[in-house]
Amino acid sequence: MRITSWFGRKKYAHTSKPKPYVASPIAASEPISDQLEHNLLHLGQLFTDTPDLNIRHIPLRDTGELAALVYIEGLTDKNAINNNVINPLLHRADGSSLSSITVGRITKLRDWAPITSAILKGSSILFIDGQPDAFMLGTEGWPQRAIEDPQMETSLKGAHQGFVESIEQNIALIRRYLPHRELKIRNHQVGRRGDSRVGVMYLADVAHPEVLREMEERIDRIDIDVIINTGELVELIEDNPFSPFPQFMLTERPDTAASQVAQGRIVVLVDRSPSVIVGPSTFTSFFQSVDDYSTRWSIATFIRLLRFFAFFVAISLPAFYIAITSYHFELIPVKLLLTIGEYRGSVPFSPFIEAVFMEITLEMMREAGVRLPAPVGQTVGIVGGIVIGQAIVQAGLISNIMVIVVAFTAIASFILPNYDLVAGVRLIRFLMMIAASLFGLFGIVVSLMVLTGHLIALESLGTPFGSPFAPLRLSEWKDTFVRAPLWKMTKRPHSTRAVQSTRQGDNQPEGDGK
Amino acid sequence: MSVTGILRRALIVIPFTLLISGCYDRLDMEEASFSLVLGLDRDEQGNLIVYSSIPTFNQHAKKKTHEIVVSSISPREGRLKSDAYSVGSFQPRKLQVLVVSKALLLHKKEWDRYLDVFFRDGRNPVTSRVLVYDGKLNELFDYHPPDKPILPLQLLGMLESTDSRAETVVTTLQQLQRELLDKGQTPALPQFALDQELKLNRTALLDRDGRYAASLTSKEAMLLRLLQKNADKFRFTIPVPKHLVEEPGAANVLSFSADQTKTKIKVSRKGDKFRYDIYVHMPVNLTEILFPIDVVVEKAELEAACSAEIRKQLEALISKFQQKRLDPVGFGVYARAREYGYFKQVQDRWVDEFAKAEFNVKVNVVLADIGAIE
Repeated sequence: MRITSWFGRKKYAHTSKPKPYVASPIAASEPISDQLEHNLLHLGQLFTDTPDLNIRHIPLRDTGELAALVYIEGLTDKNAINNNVINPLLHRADGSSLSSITVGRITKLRDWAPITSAILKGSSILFIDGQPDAFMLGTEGWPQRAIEDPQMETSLKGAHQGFVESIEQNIALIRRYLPHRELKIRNHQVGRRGDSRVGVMYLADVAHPEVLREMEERIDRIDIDVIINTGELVELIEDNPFSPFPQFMLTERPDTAASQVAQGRIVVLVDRSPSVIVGPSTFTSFFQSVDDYSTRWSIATFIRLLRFFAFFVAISLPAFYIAITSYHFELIPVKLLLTIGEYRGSVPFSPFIEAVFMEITLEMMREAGVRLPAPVGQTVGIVGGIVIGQAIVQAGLISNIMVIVVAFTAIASFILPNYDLVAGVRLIRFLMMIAASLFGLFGIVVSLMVLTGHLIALESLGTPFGSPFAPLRLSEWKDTFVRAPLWKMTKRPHSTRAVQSTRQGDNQPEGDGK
Repeated sequence: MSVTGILRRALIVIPFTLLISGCYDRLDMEEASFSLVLGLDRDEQGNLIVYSSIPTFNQHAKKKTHEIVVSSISPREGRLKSDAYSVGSFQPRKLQVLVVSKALLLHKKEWDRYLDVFFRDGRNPVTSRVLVYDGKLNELFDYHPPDKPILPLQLLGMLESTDSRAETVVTTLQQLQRELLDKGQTPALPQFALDQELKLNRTALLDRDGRYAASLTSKEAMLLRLLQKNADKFRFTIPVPKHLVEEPGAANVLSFSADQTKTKIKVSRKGDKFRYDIYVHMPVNLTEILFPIDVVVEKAELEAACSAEIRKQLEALISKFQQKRLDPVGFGVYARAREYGYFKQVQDRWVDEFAKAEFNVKVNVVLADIGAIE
């Protein structure tokens, strides 16, 4: 294998066909029998070592036939089974037994494959002696978390509902924002064993069909055991898996997702995962937060500029410190030079070692804070604050200036609203530090150039990641460094490739400015 | 191979090729001994003595600077010798002030060859200020008053505050080089001395060959800056004619500040004689009057008196320049701009031409503000 191909990314071919679903070979498409005993026997063979499988024998009241209700305990709603299925079948005699069942969804099934899959997903199956069909009853119900504030993306003014682990609820949360019949959802199944339901949500009259097809093809190509979380799906469908930067935005906020759908983007929901994928994403979309649109535009603009500034600070400040103190100290104004020199004079390490040591300590503290339970997490803060803030400087191991640099860098990276982007920034920071320690400012400049080139070359779902900077579309800078007044943004961004480009009419309030 | 393939290969190869050459000029700040002040002096035998003052970054050191004195044949050799004495690697990269002793300027022929190293070696700065020291440099480098910051900061601070009042010139190495090479100009440098304390109240003028020729006082330096057009804020205290002072015995002195001074210099030639028309427009704010006068009533007289006094001083300064064959204003630059052909013929003896030139000075002082008390 060529070394270059290792860095290369796989191109997605538009012509490829999705692979057919291959079920477990034991009961591929065998139809069920009309004998109840045979069916139960077969079921026993299919579900060995499945103690949570429950089979309830029920004599039907109206015909006296024997029936069996099969379901998995824990995945089904006990109340629904007791009150809406078993109770009417046993005690109500009016009409046929089937019509007395009071659940919302009853489907006739004939083959074993869909039956086993339905059982495993929380439906209950009713076998009736003498009938060649089984009935799938929608009695799903499993342990669920209540809807809470999003954990990763908190907002001041936005809604306080975050996605949960069930796709139905997540769809409902988005639908509440866009109750429109053009909001479509296409279902895909991903994972041979996990069989996750993946919903692709889009506005049919806005989203570009080609982008949609690309997304669906990528999802259908996946041949995998199971997808536990959305992040895994992203890694399987992104354009450049070797980039440190995320090419799809993950959000756990229904309002963010809805606003992206309304802009013409596509949202992919994964069952059992509380975050959704938004694509195609651009570099600037990682600097936007919902709060931007509900604060006054001048203030939102200021915060936007802070974020872009913070991005560069978080990437290059420690590197800059290293370059300046190791190569170009003649650039420092003489008074500052004397101050820095006084602190640096007693430090036994070179600036690079100093910076790497402090940055690694910071990253460890951050990681420790994430994984520890909240009450213990506070200890990290105290240990870090005292050890790093004071003791290390007093001991003369690290200079004061370095502590300031690290603190400033940390704060700059906290400002960025997207966790995935920050993770990339943290990684790149170390590369920049190495470049700075080897080549000084020259190394920083070259690294920034390579970084810019990389960002421009990135694509998300085949659309340019750097838009609207590269390709340049000045009219779309209204939602980049600045956040223009909402009534100025009458067009959907090009980067979404929306087919319906007009977003709103003339909404500028009547007043002095108009 | 496709273009992207080439690019991708290049992206992998370039970092490694860079690694080969990296690090060679790395020098951590605390491992360098960077000299902030460099002094050039001569001993009795005429040998060059190089002084340098290096800040020490050791919290346990009592003295904040380390002075090195070496005798050498050139500044670059001085650097090599100094390296033997310094704690870290001796670096002139952050040089702030170059002090040249007056003795060196007076007695050493072609002393300016010593500056060559600053322009030939790209690592050396060209923005360091050049100052002339009136005295022996060892006094200066042994001067460590407990109540003042270290020498470079003292010198820079002094220079900055004096410059803000336009009482001397500020000359960087690069500017000095230009003034030395320019045939239509002679150099000027700030001059200071150690008289109990450091004081910067003179401006040294160098002649065509770069030798010390004369010094200007603060007041003269202010007028020089006015003619050079590179300052516009001046503070003058001048005498006025006695007839304006009604009360006998009162001091005939007033002070004013001029914040928007405009100078125009026009050059023309009649035969082999240059003629300069200098027009100074000076709106002034009165800040002090030491005699009783009704400023409102006698505005015109006061303006005329001030104009006459400034004009007198300017003319005196220019004739001093002419006598000493010095052109720190750069009148030759004007001549070259306007009378190029003729200037080319006389440029090698420009100062003599300049001495012959005729000057016509006009000053227009306008009372813009008479102060708050009236």
